Amino acid sequence: MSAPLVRVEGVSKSFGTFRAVEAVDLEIRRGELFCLLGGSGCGKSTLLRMLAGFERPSSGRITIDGQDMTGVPPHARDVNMMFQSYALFPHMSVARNVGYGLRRAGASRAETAARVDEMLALVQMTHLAGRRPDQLSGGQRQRVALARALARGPKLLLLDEPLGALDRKLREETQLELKKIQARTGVTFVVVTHDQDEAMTLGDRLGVMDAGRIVQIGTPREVYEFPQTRFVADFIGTVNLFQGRIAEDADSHAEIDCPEAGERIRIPHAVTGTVGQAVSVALRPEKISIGRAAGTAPNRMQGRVGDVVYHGGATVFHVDLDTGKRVRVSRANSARTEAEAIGAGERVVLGFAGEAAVVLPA
Amino acid sequence: MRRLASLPPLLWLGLFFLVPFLVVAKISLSEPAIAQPPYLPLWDWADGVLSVTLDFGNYLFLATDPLYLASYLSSVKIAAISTLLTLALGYPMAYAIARAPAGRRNLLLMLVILPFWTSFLLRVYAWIGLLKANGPINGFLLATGLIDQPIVILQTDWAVYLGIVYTYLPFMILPLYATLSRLERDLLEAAADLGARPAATFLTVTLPLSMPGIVAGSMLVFIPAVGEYVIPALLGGPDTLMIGSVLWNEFFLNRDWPVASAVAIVMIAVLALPIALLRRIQAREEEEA
Amino acid sequence: MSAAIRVIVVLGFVFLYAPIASLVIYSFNESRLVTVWGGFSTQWYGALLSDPQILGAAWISLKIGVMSASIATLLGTLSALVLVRRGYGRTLLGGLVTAPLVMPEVIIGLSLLLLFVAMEGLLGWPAGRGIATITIAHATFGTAFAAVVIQARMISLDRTQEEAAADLGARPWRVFLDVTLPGLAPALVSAWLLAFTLSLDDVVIASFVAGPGASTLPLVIFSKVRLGVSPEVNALATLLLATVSLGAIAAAWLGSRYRS
Repeated sequence: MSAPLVRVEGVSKSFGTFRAVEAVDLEIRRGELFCLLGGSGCGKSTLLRMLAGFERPSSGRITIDGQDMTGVPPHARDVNMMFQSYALFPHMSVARNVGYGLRRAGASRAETAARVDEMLALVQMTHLAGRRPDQLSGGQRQRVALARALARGPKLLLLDEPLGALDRKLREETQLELKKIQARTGVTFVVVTHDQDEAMTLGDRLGVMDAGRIVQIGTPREVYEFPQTRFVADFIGTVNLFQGRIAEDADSHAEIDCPEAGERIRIPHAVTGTVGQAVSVALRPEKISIGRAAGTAPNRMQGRVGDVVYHGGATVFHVDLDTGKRVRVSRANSARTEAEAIGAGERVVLGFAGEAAVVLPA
Repeated sequence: MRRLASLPPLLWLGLFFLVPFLVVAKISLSEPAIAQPPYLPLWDWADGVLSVTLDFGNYLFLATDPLYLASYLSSVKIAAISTLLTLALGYPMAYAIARAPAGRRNLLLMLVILPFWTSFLLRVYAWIGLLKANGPINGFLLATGLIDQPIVILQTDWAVYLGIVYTYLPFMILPLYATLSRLERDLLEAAADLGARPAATFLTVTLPLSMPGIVAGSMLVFIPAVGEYVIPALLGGPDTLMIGSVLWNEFFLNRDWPVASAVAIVMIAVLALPIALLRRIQAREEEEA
Repeated sequence: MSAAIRVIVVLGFVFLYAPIASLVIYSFNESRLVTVWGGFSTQWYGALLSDPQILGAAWISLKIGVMSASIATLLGTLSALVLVRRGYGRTLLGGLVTAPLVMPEVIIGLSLLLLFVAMEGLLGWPAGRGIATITIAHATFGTAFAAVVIQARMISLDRTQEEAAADLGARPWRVFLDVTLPGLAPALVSAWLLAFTLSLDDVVIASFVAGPGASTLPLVIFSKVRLGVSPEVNALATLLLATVSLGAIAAAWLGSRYRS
């Protein structure tokens, strides 16, 4: 594999006494779409702004394409940014907005016009080239902002919550389109988002941030199915977490003593940790089966259905276990009607396969 | 209740602001006379016949006597130069205040407004003492060896520029601050991100977007400066020609009310364009707010 | 921010405050001449306080200021109400309210005087010119400034509070007294003070509409300073400055308490 495009080495950033970004190491590969995911204030935007050059790292080093970026001002970086607010210049037409960076780079009028046409065609905005930003809809502004940021053909494009201002339906369509444009142009994208669905849809890889640190990097599937910490398990998707202790740990299997689940959880592989150590067991709602009678699943829990929430695509059962713990179970609604639907108040047995359980440090 | 609320201000301002202009217009068309009041009536009822005598002589007089044309031109020139100087000083100050940390911004704004609350007359008067040939400014410059002879500022047009800049600076800074503080940081960062150096960012983004503030501030200085009387009276010299002083002298010294009225009407005509410009900017701002 | 801008800002504030400081310093100068520092003295304050002309003018100005500011605040509130709440005749009123803000003072003064003379000829009122005519003139331009200040505050008022009061059974007048007026209070105070200050400061308009026996303080000061620098005026300026500064500090302090 070729050398990574961006290397972030031990980068920290403090504002006064507040440590926004803490010892981050990160490599971003050429041509990939990398998502930085985290809640508000986790440091993802600060990290992005350091890549753009708006903030200087308090310590550590950022290199882009082998060049040390320390002290390189934003206007001299081969990096462009698409702002969350889009930051379109209100006094310029769409065409002039898109051509702005090209003119600053010394492109002639003719060159600029040609490239602007190309960019507007890419985002399907050719027919609105003469409009001003305040005459555009939110989705149209988003396209102009993207075209403007791509016009100079940057090595790296930074996108700060690129779809945050769009409504849900438009956002889903635009996510796929953004991926297409990224593939067509081949530019490396770094997208900052707080929306896990968006990160999963867009990203080739995700970096999950919490309190200024990157807590896990991986493909969407890796991060969802193999979270490495409670925070990641809880932040990405919905999860049921049980407190427990390692009761037995062998090469081929392990058992977790888990009073909250009612009985020991059996897992068909070894776990990291020593016997007696406190751990958390994470179980995704869709990996738990629900029924009136005990099924064949190796792990079982008894309880009573508290609430049933119909979500259209799936139904979520909130089950109160006999141990007092509340567990969410989701079941896909594969049929339109269900004659013997499980209702609130019914006693149920929950089951799950051992490999569905993820054992995490407590 | 709503109609009732409109009545008092409409009546008051109508009677004491709008009607007076009609009176001025009327008197500007009357013939001067040695009488009390010193003009002849415009219309007369005699033997059941209404006779109206319109006298355009006052306007003709303004057009033929070169003093008036020169005064109008000189007033516009002095007001324009002062406005540019106020802008040159006010823009960087407004910019700095808008970019200052949030905590310090209000303090700086208050420091700009505070002098406005103290007597304008006394503040202009203070410059007489400062600018004298043997005053502290000349004393300081002589002591530092920057000059070897006292410079004469007082009773020149320069003192008038200075007085106008000094008096009207807050009127320039406040609208500029209003537009500059609304300028989003994102836009400046976007320009830098797209390769604009600081100077290019200023010229292509900051300056065009602060244009409403520049125009509003300039008009707020220019319009009253054209008709300024106190500043040239205290700081200007005998050569300083300003139309406000001309009107004053026509009225108080020559007691020629019709000519003074004609001077006022022409002044309003001269100011109509800048006032319309200001109104348009303000209306647009209100719409956006 | 670049160093050049910092220098300009510092120079700008020096420019704004140096003349004011010079007035204060020279008010304590023993010598009558500005050029010479004759030692510290408070004699000019004594001279000022025993000058019957200045004291009389100050009293007249105070009366005119209080009356005109009160009229201006009342009319300004009504104007703001009409302009912000889209009342009757607001286009005309909008023009009438903003025009005095920029109209040169010589024109306002001349036109008002000519009106008063014409009215006197027609109606016999006002008989001659004096405190009444100056008050009317000051209330007129004061209304314009008061309306601007109150309008700004009224725009930022939360209308849902008024709607809540109405929803809970308050009649329009009660809503105005219970919700609108308290919300406007800070702006009413600022507007009154602004109109009062402008009245206390006016030379040009008062020169036109003042009659014999009604010399306001600025008229007396103007006639004195036209003859050159006067240490008594320096002392007067210092007293006015002290009053204004105390007022500003009190307003800032009240403002910060009001907010917290």
